[in-house]
This record gives sequence, structure tokens and C-alpha cells, in this order.
Amino acid sequence: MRNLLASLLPATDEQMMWRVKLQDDPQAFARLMARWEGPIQRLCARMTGGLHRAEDLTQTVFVRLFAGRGDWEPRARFSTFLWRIALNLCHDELRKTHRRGECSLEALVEAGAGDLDRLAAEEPPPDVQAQTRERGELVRRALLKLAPHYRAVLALRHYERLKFQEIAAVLDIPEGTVKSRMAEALTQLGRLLKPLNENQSCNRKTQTPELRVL
Amino acid sequence: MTHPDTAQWMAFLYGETPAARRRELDDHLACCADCAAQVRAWRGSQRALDDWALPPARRLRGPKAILQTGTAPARATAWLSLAALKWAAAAALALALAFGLGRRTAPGARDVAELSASVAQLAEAVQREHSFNSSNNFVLATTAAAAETLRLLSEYSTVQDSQRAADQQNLALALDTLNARLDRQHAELETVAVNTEDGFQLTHQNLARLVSYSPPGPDTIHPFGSEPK
Repeated sequence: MRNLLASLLPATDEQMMWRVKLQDDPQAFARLMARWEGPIQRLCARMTGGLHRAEDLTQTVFVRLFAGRGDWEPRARFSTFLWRIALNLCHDELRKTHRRGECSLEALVEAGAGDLDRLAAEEPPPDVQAQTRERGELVRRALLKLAPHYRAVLALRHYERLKFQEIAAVLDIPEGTVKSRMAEALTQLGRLLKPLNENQSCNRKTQTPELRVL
Repeated sequence: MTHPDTAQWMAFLYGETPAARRRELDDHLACCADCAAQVRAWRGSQRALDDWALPPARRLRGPKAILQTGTAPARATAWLSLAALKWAAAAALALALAFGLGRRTAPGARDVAELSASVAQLAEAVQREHSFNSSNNFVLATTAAAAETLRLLSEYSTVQDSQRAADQQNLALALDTLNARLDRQHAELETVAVNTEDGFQLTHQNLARLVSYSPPGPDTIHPFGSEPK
């Protein structure tokens, strides 16, 4: 029992969520939010391509988390539960955009473009940084051209550094499927960015890796 | 040459491969041009992904705003309900235990001893935690009690599984008895039905006879108004 008590220090996400679930504990909820609003905001930004949209979505994610506190099972990992809420919301958002006839892709691609200024405003750039930002913008646009389920795997593994196994739990699919989606996502991204890579390789005088689909 | 599959390369590219296997894959890359080209392409995409940086996340509106959107109001006296939770966990365990003992006709002595020992342990832990003052300790104790309860319940359920087979046999027997009784009742019902049918026909015949006996009165109204003489 003593060991068990010791192993529970400091309070885990699951313990916090337990308190939120049973007592609507505002402090526990505030701590969960402080820990997770960053990662969730990033995921939403990677999924929808827009920072402002990501902020709104993140707010909604936590509203849903609180509303769905009764559905949380103490045996499940809190992070899995939260990532799932966030991803579902992102998918809803993407569908909504599509249905509104905003021509999902272009609208999304353009909608996030203004965020580049915000990025610029926060760190006044030398030329190198400007170039990096430009490349980042190209990558953002390319990512938005991928199917959302590829983007989700990329966001969770590459940016949020979840293990393939954890992603499989979040998406409720086999680990092998996650890996093949990841490979396909990287392949498609490479194809979309091929012109960019070729330009770079001309500048760098390095070989451009030829892409092929397995 | 057998080439490692896509899944293995993904694990490799994201550092989820054990060191020994990693070396094997490195060796393969050194001698297989096809796989090397493929992995190089994937690495190119990985580098590209790194180019898309995000600014630091903005702090959101306070959690209070979100809590207010919830249905149930937040309670102020957290520790009170925590204590209640702890006792609830203990009570749930005791209930489960009582249920198990009551239901099982011949409980394994070992299981019962184990369960009682665990209960004693839990009780002791609860007693000990009474002296704790900070609410954090209360939370830990609560979680511990809950975890212990869960563990014991799962143990109980495995014991219960073995019991279930015997229960199913009993149930099958009971069902058979019930079936036999139903069959008997069905036969009885059929007899009743036949008797009723006989009675009905008799009554019908009597009625027909009664009708034929009644003579037409003098003021009987003929359907066509005038009676042909």
C-alpha cells in the first residue's frame, strides 16, 4: 500500500481527471488545462492549418472534456481520451468547412496564411528566418492537401511525439495501420514538396532522393 | 534479399526500434539501394515537416469559464466528498464481498482468506490515513482505495467465472424441469379445449332446437308487409 501511495506522487493526469469527474474540482481542471492546452492547440493547428481556428477549437475541446467527464473511464489513459476528443472536433470542423462550400482546401490554405504575420510579428526576422518561414508555409499548405487521417497520424507522431502504439489507441486502429498511414503520409508529402526539394537540392548541390511508392 | 516492411522502417525512422534490430536495418540500408532511396525520401519529408514551426500556444480563457458551461455546479468542500468517496469505495468492496459470499454456496477458503486479509489491509490504510491533514494525501488515499477495490473486484470476478459454469448447469436443469411442466400444462389445456368445444356444440344444438320449437305468434310482422294467404 505504501509503495502504491508513493508511486502516485505527483498527481497524474488520471488522478486530476478523477477529481474532475467526481467533484467537478476546479483546481484539478485548471491544472489539466495548463498541462494540455499547448499540445491540443498545436494538434488543432496542424489539423486545420489555422492558429486562430486552433485556439477556438482548443477552447471547445476543454468544454467537451468537461461536459464528457462522466464518460471518462479511470482505466483509460487521460491523454488518449483528450486526443480523441480533439481529433473528433477537428474532423467535425473540417467537415463543416467542407459543407459550407468554402472549398475546404483553398479556404483552409488561405485562412491560415494570415497567421504567418503573427509568426513574423513575434520574432522580427533576419533573412534566413524569413526563408525558413516561407518553407514552413509551403509545408503547411502541402499538409492541408493530405487527407485528414494522414495529417492526424503525422501530427501525433512527428510533432507531438506519441508512440505508434499510443496513436493506435487514440485512433482505435491496429498499430500496423498507423505505421502504413504514416509511410503513405510521408510519401505523399514528399511528392507534394518535390519541386521545393528539387530547388533546395539545386542550391545545396545535393542529390534529390527519388520518390517511389512501396 | 528480404526487405524490411514499411512498418519496420517507420519504427526505425521514429526511433522505436530496439538497438540490435536498428543495427541490422542500418546494415541493410548500406547494401540495398532500393530501401536506401526510399528511406532517404522519407527522411526528406521528415525534415520538411520540421520546417513548419508554430508560435508558442496562447493561454486560453480561464478554466472557470468552461466550468460554468458544465451542468453540475462545482462543490467547494472538496475534502468532505473525498472522505465520502473513500468510504464509498470501502463500502462497495464490502458489498461485493457480502454478495459474493452470500451467493456462492461453497466459497474457496483460500479466496475468502485472501479477500478478508485485503479488507483488513484496506481498513488499516483508511485508519492510518485519518491522521493525514492535507487534502492531497486524501486524494492519494482515495485513489489507492479505489485501485485496491478495482483489483479485488477483478479477482472476485475471476473466482466468480469458475462458479459460473456450475451455475449454468443448474440453470439448464431448472430449464428442463420448467419445460416438462410447460408440456404437461399444454396437454391439460388441450383437454380443456376439447371439452369446451364439446360443450359449445351441445349448447348450439339446444339453441337450434329451441328456435325451431317456438311457434310464430299472430302478430308476427312479415318482412314484406302483407302475408300471402
